[in-house]
Amino acid sequence: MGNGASNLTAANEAVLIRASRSGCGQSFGKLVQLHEQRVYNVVYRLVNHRDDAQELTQETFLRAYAKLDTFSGESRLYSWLFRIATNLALSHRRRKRVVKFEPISPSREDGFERGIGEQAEVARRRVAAPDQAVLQQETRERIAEALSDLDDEHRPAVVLRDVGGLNYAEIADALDLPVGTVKSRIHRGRLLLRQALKDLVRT
Amino acid sequence: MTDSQDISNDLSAWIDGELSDARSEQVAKAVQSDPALAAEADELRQVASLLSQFAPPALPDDFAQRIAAQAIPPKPSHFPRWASLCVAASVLVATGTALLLFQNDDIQQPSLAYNDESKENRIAATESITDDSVELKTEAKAIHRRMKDLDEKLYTEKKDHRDLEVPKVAEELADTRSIRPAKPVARFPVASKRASKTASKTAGKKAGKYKGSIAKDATPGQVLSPVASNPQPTRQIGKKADNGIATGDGPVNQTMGRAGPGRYDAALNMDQARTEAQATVTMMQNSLPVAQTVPGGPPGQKPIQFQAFRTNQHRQAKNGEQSETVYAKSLKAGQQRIEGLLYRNGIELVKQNQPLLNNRQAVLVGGWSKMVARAQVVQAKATADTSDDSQTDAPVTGQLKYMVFGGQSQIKELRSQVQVLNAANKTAKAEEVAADQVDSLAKEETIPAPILEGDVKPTAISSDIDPPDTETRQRTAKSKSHPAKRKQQRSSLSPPPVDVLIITVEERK
Repeated sequence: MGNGASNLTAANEAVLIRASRSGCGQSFGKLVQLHEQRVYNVVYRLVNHRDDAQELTQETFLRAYAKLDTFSGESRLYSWLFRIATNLALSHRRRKRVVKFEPISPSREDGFERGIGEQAEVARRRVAAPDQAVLQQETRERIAEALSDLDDEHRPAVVLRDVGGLNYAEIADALDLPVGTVKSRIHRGRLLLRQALKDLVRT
Repeated sequence: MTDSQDISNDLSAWIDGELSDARSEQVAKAVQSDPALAAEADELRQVASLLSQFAPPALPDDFAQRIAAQAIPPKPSHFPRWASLCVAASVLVATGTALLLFQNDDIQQPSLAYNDESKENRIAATESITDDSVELKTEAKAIHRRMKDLDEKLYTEKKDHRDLEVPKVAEELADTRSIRPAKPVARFPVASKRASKTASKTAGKKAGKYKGSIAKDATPGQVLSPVASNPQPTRQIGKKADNGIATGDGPVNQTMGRAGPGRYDAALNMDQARTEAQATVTMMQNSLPVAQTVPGGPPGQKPIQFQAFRTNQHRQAKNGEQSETVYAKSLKAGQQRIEGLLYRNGIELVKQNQPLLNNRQAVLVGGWSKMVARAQVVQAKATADTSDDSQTDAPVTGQLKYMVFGGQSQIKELRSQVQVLNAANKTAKAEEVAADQVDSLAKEETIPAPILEGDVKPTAISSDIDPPDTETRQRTAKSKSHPAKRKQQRSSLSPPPVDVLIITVEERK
C-alpha cells in the first residue's frame, strides 16, 4: 500500500490532528486525503457495495472528526480510523441483513453500477487487452463473492490484513481482540477463501 | 495437536511475518522439508495476493474536500439570520416576563395595605384575595363557556326553522348574558316607523320561525316596553289564515307579535308561545276526527291513522312525566306528523277532485291559488275526456297553468291533447252531417226534376258542405296573423272532402 500515510511521520500526523481539533479545515482535509483510500478499500471489501462504501467512508471521517478529542494518539490514526470503519461496516451489514433484496436483473445498485465502475477503472488503467480486462473483472467479482461468503468473524480480520495492510497488533487493536485470535481468524479465513477460489489458486 | 498441525496453523502468520524469529525458522524448516506444507503455504500466499491485488474503484477526487467541508463548515462572514431571530425572540420573551412580573406585583399590591396588621392577618388577607380572584376567574370562565355553548345551540336551533326550542335557548342565553356587566342598550323612547320595522326584523330573526307573525303590530309612537308592562296579547287571529298557521275555530292568542328593541324581546314570552304552538296542534287535531283513516300513503301500505302521532313520549310529557323540552319536542313532532298526513291526504283529495278538509290542508298542498288551479285543470281534463261537446280548454288558461304544471311545455302538451280531442269531435260531427246531407240528396234524386235544355249550369263544386261554425271562424280569425298555424289548423280541423255536385235549377220567369 503505497500511500501518503506511510510516508507521513507520526509527528506530522499529530500536528495535523492538533490543527484539526482547533477547527482547521485544511488540516483535516489533508488527513482525510491521506487515509481515505485505505479506509475506502477496507469498507468496500466489507460491504461489497460502491455507494454504501463511499457513504460509510464519509461517515467514518465525520465521526472521527467529531471524536477527535478522544483520540489519545497512542496508536496510529489509521488504525483508529479502521476501527471506526469496521464497526460501521459491520453494523451496516447487520442492518442490511434484516431486509435483503436480491435484484432480479443486474441493477444500477449492484451489478450495473459495479460494472460501470469496473469499466471506468479499466479505462483509467488503460488496459490494452480487452480479454485481460474481462478476466480481471471476473476474478474481481469472484474475490468479492468469496469475501461476502465469509462470516463476520473472519472477514474483517482478513480484509484488514490483506486489503488494509494492518499488522496483527493493529488488527487486534482495531477489532478489540487478542492477537492470537486475530492470527487464527486470519488463517481460518484464508483457508476458506482458498477453498472458494480453488480454480484461481495454482498449486 | 501434532507438530505439523501447529506448523500448518502458523503458516499464515509465517507468510505475514508475524511470528517470532525462532518460530519463523522452525516453520521455514518444516515447509522446506514437507512439500504439502510448502504447497499450502504457496496457496495461502496466492490468496493474500489476490485480495491485495484487486483494489476497488477509486474515490472521487474531491472526496476529501467534501468531507472536510461537511465536518468543518466555513464560518459565516455576516451575522446569520437565525441569530437575529433568536435575539428578537429572546427580547420578546424578556419583555413578556417583565410584564408578567409587574402584573403579579399589581395583584399582590392589596396585601400591602395590611402592613400595619400582624403577619397572620397579612397572610390571611393575601390568601383570601387570591382565593377570590381564582373563584372569580373560574366563574367568569364558566359563564363564558356557557355563553358560547348557548350561542352555538341557538345557531343550531335557528337553522331548524321548525324547532320550538329556539325561544327557550334564547331565554337561557338572555339570562346568562344578564350576568355580565350591564351594557347600555339602545332604546327607542318613541318608536318611529323605521325603528319599529328594524326591531321587527331583529325580533323575527331571533325568534326563529313563527311564520311572519312576529312584530307585526308595532305601531309608530308606541313605547316599546318589556313583557311585564304589556302582558296582554297584542293580536288575535281567528279563522283567517293569513300566515298559514292557525285556522281553528277559537281565537288563538298570538303573542309573538310584540316589537321589542332588545335582542331577545321576541323570545321572552315563552309560555304564551308554547301555548300558541300547543293550541295550533290541538286545533289541527280537532280539525280531523281522531283515528281517521287517511287515504294517503304509498300503495300497499296500511292506511295511516291520525292517532299514531300520540306517541308514548308525548303522553308522558303531557302527564308531566317528561321535561318541558321533551314535551315541546313531542309537540313539534306531532305537528310535523300531522302536517305530513294532511299534505298527503290533500294530494289524494285533489287527485280525486274532492274538496279539501280545511284551509291548513290547502296551504300545505300548495297554496289556495295553486290548489284551485289544480282542481280546475282536473275538471277541464275530465270534461275534455267525457264530453263530446268540449270545444275548448278555456278553464286551463292564464298563469294558473304555469303554477300547476310548472312549465310551458307541459301546458302546450295538454293544449295539444285538447285540440286533438276537439278536432276528432269535429271530424266525427262533420262526417255525420255530411252523411245526412248525402242521404237527403239521395232522397231528392228519386224525384225526377224537370230538366230544361240550356238552363242547366253548374254553379259550384264544393268540398266543404258544412259552413264553418263559430269556433272555427274564431280560430281562423285568431290565426290570421300566423299563416303557418292557420295552414296547420286548416288541415287538422277541416273534415274530409265529400265529392258532391250541387246542381241549382233556376227557372226562367
